[in-house]
Amino acid sequence: MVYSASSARTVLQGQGDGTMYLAKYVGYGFFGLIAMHIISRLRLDLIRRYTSVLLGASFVMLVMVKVPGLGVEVNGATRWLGFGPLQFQPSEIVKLALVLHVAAVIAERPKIARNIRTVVGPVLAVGGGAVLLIAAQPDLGTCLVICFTMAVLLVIAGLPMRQLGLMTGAGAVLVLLFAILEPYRRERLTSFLDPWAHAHDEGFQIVQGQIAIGSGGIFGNGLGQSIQKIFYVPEAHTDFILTIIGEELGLAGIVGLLSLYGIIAYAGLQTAKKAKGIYATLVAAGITSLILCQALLNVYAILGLAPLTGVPLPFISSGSTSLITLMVSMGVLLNVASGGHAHTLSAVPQRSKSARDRAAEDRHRGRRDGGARGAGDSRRRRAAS
Amino acid sequence: MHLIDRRIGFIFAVFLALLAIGATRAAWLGVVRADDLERAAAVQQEDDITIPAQRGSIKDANGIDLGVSEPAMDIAATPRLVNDATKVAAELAPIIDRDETKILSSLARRDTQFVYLGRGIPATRAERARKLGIPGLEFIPRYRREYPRDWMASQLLGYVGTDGNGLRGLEYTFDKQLAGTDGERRMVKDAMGEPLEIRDTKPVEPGKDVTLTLEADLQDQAEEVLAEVGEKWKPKGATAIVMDPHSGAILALANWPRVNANEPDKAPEEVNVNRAVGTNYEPGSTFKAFTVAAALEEGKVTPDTSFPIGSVLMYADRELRDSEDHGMGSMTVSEIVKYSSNIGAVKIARALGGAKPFDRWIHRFGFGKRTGVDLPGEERGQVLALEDYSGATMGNLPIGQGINVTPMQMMAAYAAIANGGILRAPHIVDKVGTTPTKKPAGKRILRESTAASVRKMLEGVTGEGGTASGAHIEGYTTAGKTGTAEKAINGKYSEEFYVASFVGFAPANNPKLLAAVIVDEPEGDIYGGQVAAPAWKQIVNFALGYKKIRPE
Repeated sequence: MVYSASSARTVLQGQGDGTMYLAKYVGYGFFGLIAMHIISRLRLDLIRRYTSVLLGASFVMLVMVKVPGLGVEVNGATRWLGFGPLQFQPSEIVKLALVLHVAAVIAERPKIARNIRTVVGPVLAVGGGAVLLIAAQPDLGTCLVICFTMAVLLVIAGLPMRQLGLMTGAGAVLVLLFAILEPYRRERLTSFLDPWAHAHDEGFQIVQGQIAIGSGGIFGNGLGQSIQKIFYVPEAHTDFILTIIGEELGLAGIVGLLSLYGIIAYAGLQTAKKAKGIYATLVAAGITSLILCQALLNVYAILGLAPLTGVPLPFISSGSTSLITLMVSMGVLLNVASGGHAHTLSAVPQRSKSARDRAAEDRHRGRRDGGARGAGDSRRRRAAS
Repeated sequence: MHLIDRRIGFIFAVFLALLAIGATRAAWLGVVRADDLERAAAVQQEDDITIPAQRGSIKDANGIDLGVSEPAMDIAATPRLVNDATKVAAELAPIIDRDETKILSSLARRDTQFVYLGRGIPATRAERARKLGIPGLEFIPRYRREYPRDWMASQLLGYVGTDGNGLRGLEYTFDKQLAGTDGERRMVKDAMGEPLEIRDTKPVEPGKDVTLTLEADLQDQAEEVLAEVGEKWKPKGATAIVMDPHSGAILALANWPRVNANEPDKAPEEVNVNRAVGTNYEPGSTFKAFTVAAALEEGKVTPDTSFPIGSVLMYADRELRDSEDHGMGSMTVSEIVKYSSNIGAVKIARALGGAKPFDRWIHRFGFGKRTGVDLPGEERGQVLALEDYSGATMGNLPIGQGINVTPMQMMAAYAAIANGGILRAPHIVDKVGTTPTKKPAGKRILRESTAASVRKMLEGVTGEGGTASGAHIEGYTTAGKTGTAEKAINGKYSEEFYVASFVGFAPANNPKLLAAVIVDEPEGDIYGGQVAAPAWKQIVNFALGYKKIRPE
């Protein structure tokens, strides 16, 4: 509930530009609200059971993206699947599926997490496969989010720190290689170090973003008063939405937003601590880290603390698949939070199980054609109720 | 579970720390670097546009426009953005009246993002060009200077450069008053250059009108007469000035050859010079009036003082003769003026006391320095310093040779004789905006009576038997002096090149109009009485009627 209330306002903040996105949000948001609501009331076991189906489906979609004619290319990257206006990004679903998968695998035999060797098979093989597929799109940002989230999950599951350190080192080398091989990523990397020297080419986005934040000052220029959003800052409504928040609401707005993420972290990890059973704990912690990792990666890139990788800001950016996945994730997290409630539902006999199956199918279908329908609005509703 | 709880706490701490670092960095950008970044935002978001001020008009004494500014456009292009340069040039050239090949070569440039295709295109033409909807063209509003009367008073008015600055003539002298102050408009624009917000940061102050004492009709007449002189005598150049001798107000100032004020660059450089102030010439006999006035003022002679006049006067190594031997044996001062006797003038100067007092009187009449007329490019003439006088000098100066003056200096000095003895700087600007200009104060250099008796003597010149009897105007008394000066070429007086002039006023005893006609190197005849006096008569005759001066 806390997260719901917090994210609602920020979604509104982001919507400065045009009724098209707004309408999309409201429409998808309503849908997302229902999805979240249903999921939060499902039996947790059910989610666990269908994890493998979700994972399999998302892998299939990842491969489909690569099939000519099905994948949609934008800005040199093939990340989307879909026809005409209905598009969605399988990699966003993969994130959630992987978290659920890893949680399930580790919960089955918690001991495997205590040693790197035992973890390699079920966790790293599947995760690594997904990462490679996504890296091929290419989408470095999502790869990083997945890697970080996996790492956090392993830390929580009890992987020895030294082994984790080794793994991180290896991963870092891989990522660096990946970054250096592709010219546009190399440029992003170098421009990160001194964006103002590249203000007219590679550093353009960063510089424009920082100009927006700087001209907002402490309290901003007021809602809707951003000038930078009008074609100066590229991707102002998606990856760079934070800069517009900075310009319109100032430092106060940014710090407020970061605080909200802080609250999500607190509430999510509290939920994990209090959850019944290791599976629930790992699911809650995994989803929380997923959100935090993504948020931090986005914020750091925009503030010039990390190279640009192109991840949306959770709950705020208008990337639709990202939003609906996050909503579904929040539904799972809420489910864990109100754990007892879910268990009472699970006691219901056969008849209701088939109904639940139908509900799960609906969920899948919804995602497939709806993409990231508005998670944001759904939360707002929820907060109000 | 204990381990997991600890690990969860650890992860929470890491997340909090990372968020805190983010917040700190945001604070750095939003507070410490805010000024820098805001400036960077202003640089790219704001544009200051200059709004040109309309330049004031130049009007004649009756409010007729002589120079006006009309709305116009500069048309510029970003060559890179123009798709079909050949087609664009072909379409544009006839509309904006510019050379097609020039436009094409401008559009072919790849070394610049900005090139003018035409400057100061009249608004109507520019509008038609704009309607073509050619991409890559830019229309910058401005004003364009036009001279509705084309050829009239061009050298006097001057002209305005492509950037709108007065470069010559009155446009130059009164540039500050005419120009006004450009306004400034700040535009906040989006990244595509579309304006989001516009506000005027500096109001436009239009330029002030400059009203002249010039009378356009009189000017027209003077120019027409000079054109006839030009056709008849094929001189190098000619000047006519008409002035109110009492106030020093210039009523007409004509130069020949004429220049089309709208196309000053089509005339050779020397023709654009305002000869009335910008040329030096030896005044010749017109100068004798000052020799006589000085001797009279100092009481050395009276109009009736008689001097023996032979046919030749030896002066130093030179033989001095009159233009024709009058064979009179002796002449009074009046007769010396009337017949323009060189020998007589030299003898009067001798009676005045020679070089020293004569030099003083040259300066007293204002020669050797600028008159202070409100026109640019005024020359000061050349007056020999007293210590540089040679033995022959006093045989030259009294008859107006060996000294260089400007037409304007002659007008100012003659005005003193005409108005009763006051030397005053001539002026041509009456009002700037609605404020009358400060009129120059005069300085008395002659007694009324001296001026009156010089006028009386000059009246004789246009009378029966005088050197300019042809200048007499029916119904009026006229007075003046002819001049036929040899031009010094390379330090020697030529027998070939002369300056013929006539300076005079009417009515003779109560002058309302003073005029001078100066013809440089006429062909066919050389005498002021033949070349300049008839032109003078035509101009003054018209002017007397135009100014409604009653016949006597």
